[in-house]
Amino acid sequence: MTRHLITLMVFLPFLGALLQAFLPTSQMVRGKFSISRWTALGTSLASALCGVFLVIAMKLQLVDLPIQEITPWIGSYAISYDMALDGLNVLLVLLISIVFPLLVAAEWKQKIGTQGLYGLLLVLQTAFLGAVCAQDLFLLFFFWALSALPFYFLIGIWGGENRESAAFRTIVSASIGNALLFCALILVYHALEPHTFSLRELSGGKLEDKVFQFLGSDFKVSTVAFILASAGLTLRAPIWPFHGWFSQAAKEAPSPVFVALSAVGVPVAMYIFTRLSYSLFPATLVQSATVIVVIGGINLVMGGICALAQKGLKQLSAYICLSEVGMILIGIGSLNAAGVVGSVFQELSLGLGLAGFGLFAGLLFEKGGDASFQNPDGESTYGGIVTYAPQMAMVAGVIVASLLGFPGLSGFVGHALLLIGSYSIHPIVVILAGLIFLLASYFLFTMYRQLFLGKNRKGLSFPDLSLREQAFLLPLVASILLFGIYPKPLIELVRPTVMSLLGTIK
Amino acid sequence: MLGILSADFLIPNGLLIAGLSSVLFGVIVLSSGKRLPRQGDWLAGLGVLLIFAWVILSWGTDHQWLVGWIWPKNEAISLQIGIWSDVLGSTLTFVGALLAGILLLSRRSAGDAPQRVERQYSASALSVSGLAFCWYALTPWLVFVGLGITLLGGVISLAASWDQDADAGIVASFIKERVASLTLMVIGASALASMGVPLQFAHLETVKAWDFSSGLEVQALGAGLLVFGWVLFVLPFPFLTYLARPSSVLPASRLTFAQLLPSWGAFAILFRLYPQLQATGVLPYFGWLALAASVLSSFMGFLQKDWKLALNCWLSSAFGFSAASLLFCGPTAAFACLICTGLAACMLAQSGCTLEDGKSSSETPKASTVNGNSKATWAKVSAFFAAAVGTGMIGFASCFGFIQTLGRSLYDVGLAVGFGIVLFLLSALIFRLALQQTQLSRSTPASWFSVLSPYLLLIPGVGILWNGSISGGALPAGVDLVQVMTIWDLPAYLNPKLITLDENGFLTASWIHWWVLVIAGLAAYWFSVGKRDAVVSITERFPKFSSFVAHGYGMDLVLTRTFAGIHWVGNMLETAINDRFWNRFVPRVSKATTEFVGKTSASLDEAITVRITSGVRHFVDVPAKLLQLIHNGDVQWYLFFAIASGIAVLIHFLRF
Repeated sequence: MTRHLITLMVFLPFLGALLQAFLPTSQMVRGKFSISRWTALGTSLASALCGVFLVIAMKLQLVDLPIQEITPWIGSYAISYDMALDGLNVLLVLLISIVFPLLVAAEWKQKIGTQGLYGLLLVLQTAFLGAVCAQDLFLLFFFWALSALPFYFLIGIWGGENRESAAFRTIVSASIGNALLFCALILVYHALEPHTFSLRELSGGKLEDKVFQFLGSDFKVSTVAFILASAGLTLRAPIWPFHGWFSQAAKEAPSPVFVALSAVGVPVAMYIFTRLSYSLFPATLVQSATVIVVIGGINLVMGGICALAQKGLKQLSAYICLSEVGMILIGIGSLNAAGVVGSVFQELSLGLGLAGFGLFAGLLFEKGGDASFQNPDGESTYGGIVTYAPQMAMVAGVIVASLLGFPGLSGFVGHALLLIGSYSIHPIVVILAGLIFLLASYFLFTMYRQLFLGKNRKGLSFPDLSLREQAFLLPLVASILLFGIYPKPLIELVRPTVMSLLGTIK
Repeated sequence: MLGILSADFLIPNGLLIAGLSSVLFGVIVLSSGKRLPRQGDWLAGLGVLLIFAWVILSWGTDHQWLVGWIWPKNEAISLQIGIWSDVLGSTLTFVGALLAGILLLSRRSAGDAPQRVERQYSASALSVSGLAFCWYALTPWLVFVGLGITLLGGVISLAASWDQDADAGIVASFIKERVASLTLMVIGASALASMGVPLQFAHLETVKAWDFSSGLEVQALGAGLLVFGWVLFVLPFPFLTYLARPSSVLPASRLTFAQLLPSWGAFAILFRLYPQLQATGVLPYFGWLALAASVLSSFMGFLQKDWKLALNCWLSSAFGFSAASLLFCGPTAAFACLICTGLAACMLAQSGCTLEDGKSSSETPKASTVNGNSKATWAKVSAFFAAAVGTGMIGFASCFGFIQTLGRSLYDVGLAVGFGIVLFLLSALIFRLALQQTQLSRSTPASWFSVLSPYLLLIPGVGILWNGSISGGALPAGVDLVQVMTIWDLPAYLNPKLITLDENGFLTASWIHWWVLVIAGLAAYWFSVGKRDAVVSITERFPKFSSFVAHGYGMDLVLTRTFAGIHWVGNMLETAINDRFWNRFVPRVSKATTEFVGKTSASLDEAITVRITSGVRHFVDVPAKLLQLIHNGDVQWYLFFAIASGIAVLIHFLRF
């Protein structure tokens, strides 16, 4: 039964996307929107259930481990359909399984281009799941590149006032990034004889002594490929100062789309970087660990400082994402078990936190017409929401606390492991991280106070969370609480893989 | 059934059941209290009762239970959580639950029913469960979880009118300051954990000394961060401004849930880790900080016009004294100071609220009755008893605490003087508060329970219950020890039965203590009683300076300016990088570059085309013209005659 579960999980959303194309488009068909919504939600949920089952099965060892599916695909180029689940990607499968059905549910009231919107979201779900599970580099690139295009349409059609510009910048940045990554993969492919794209066959430092000639000079394959891959992923994740497209997308994209970009896309980019660095380029990673940590530190600081200047929720979440990416990079560069496990866990926590934050911003925009918490004069735009929407206040409070790393919530687990893993090697960076956490507590609580407490400036009163809204926010809150109180099963899934990867370095 | 009462089951599961139930009840009361009968006070009370039951069932046991939380248990960097059921934890939790229970049971008169009273009930349940987690914790990580829960209780208790900007500002300040200091503590603990330092609490006899043989500075930095964060959390110096902001919340609730219980919870870390932290050598630096903070808080308290705000400052100062006592002199002395000063503050808050009821309803016929006058008298007397507990008068455990603190600081004259000054200021301020309360009202319509509740709080402060001494430790060598059952039998390093000062030291310390109290009492009387309050005169004479001190030494302004500066930097960075560079410069340059390349290519292409065309033209022009000439007829005939003539001439010459 479980033999093709990964394939089912990855391609069910794609089938759902195809179904959207074949649904009746006539205006005369009653319940057209309903069919489209339920089809999209059904396929997304089905995929999510497969994902959750796989994670549980892996934890309880209900299936033969490792969980993998291998089939030759393009034999002449040694490209195979190789998908597997291990400690490095299992949490991301869980993240995608939790978040995407919620995004579909969040767009329930969409009336414009419904089928197209759901179709694109489902394609994104397939693309991210495929990129995360792929163990063949070509397959990984295929899915990763596939994930770039839907954002162009999602932002360009359903976005805000300057959506065309934002969409254009997003796709240009993604295309350049994908091109650089592809160059790296081609270099790696040609490095070994016989040529292969398989991660298993390429891992373990086999590329370390390979060189290639260019313009009469010798270059190390691992160094050049590492730089190209890093540069390519830099343009898909918000790394300061190449984050301009990201902050513009934050402003213009609809909230669920930005959630897909920040809460899922960014962790997947971080995962790919971790996977490639530790598997293919371990020696190069060791040499560049300090640089990675420095870049992470810069990201952390810049993200924190710029976040303080934001007045809108979506822009604030963009800079929080920037800052947290810095933390994750610090963990990756720590080269020890706690740091790397912490970075993997933080990808999940960050995703859940940003998903909640982004969806909440969307709700506020829907109900109040404005997703900013401060006007240009520095005064609150809302105020007093807690008096008429206490459930919303409670949910937002949990999400903010998780982003700050409150003990007992999932954010604490990731942050604690990252700090513990990094302090002994880079104490200054950890102290800097601490200062940024203090800054973060200031701006997040300021935001909370301006939105939820104090006088009701707009004289607004909107209804509290409806049943539908509770249905997509409460699973996030429950996940944040559960993974914060009882993270042990997830950590035990991740740890063995990380230890074996670190073993190749040492 | 017996299995359920065994330590193996009770210790881990009992606290979890009681604590989590209390948290759950608190959340239910918060969200649905308006719809519940009596606004859910019975549900919150049930949560507090469960904690009481756990304390009583586990009293006298000394049992530990440990499990790995984040990371496998046996590894050096493991974040473990565990429960240590001992008398120390039981004592603090018992007293905290007693406080919360008394607040729950206190009834306000109908006219003064606080707004959103269900929030106060919710805060009771949450704060007590948080306190229990803090003091029954076996590792700092569970303490941090407990502190988070107490902070939640504190926020909710401040929430009587969240929709007012003033109260909202207080809540925001409170949570920002506490979370910032909690974050520092977490970072400090994480730093220590990363160096493999064992963070499990233990008995003095079995504690493992921290090995600083490698990475001393880095480990000391971690320990320093932990203690620094702790000092900021407990005091909460230098962020004292919110203490001086008036709010519409009941003073007793604000004091208990937003100040007392969170700080009591935080003391758990330093009490439990004291033996290990002492060896790091960082404690004395923060001890001086605590003393300085205590002095500053006291001055702030003197210049408050409202007794409620002055009481907040007094409690902050008392925490400073207790913290300094712990950091310099150890847990033995500090424990009694901590408990008794907290009790004193609560007693004053309760008596003050009772008398304020009389003040606010003085125009109703109900107020001026014999019963009302009698109640007011009892309330005023309780204020003096509060002062007695808070200053270490004979018969109370604080007497032992203050004398031990002074005695142990005598090795350093400066330190002894510092403690003496702080004790003087604390005593003067609390006497002043007690005297001020006598002038609040002559009668009160409050219930008898509210009036007498401070006397209930007095009981845990009585010295005989702590060390079996009638005087509470005022006499040397335990001459007044009686054979009574002591309720609290504290572990070795906290047992106040241990007389650790020599006779000379004890006498010197006692002498200092009593003379400080006398002078402080006289000073308080002289400043506060009479035609005009002398402190009020000072504030009128030096209004700017008084305002500066009374509002937290301008710390708010410093913080506001600092964050405004960071805000400006962030704005500038975003404008420079996003707006100017990526939104304008890069598109402009890209467009210009693309256009330039395009135009250049186009013009180059044109030029090449022209050159090729002209080159080709030159190459083919002459033959083409020639052929054209041949084509157009006349040339044909010229050519024919020329060729024919040439052939004729050739034949002619060939014949010859």
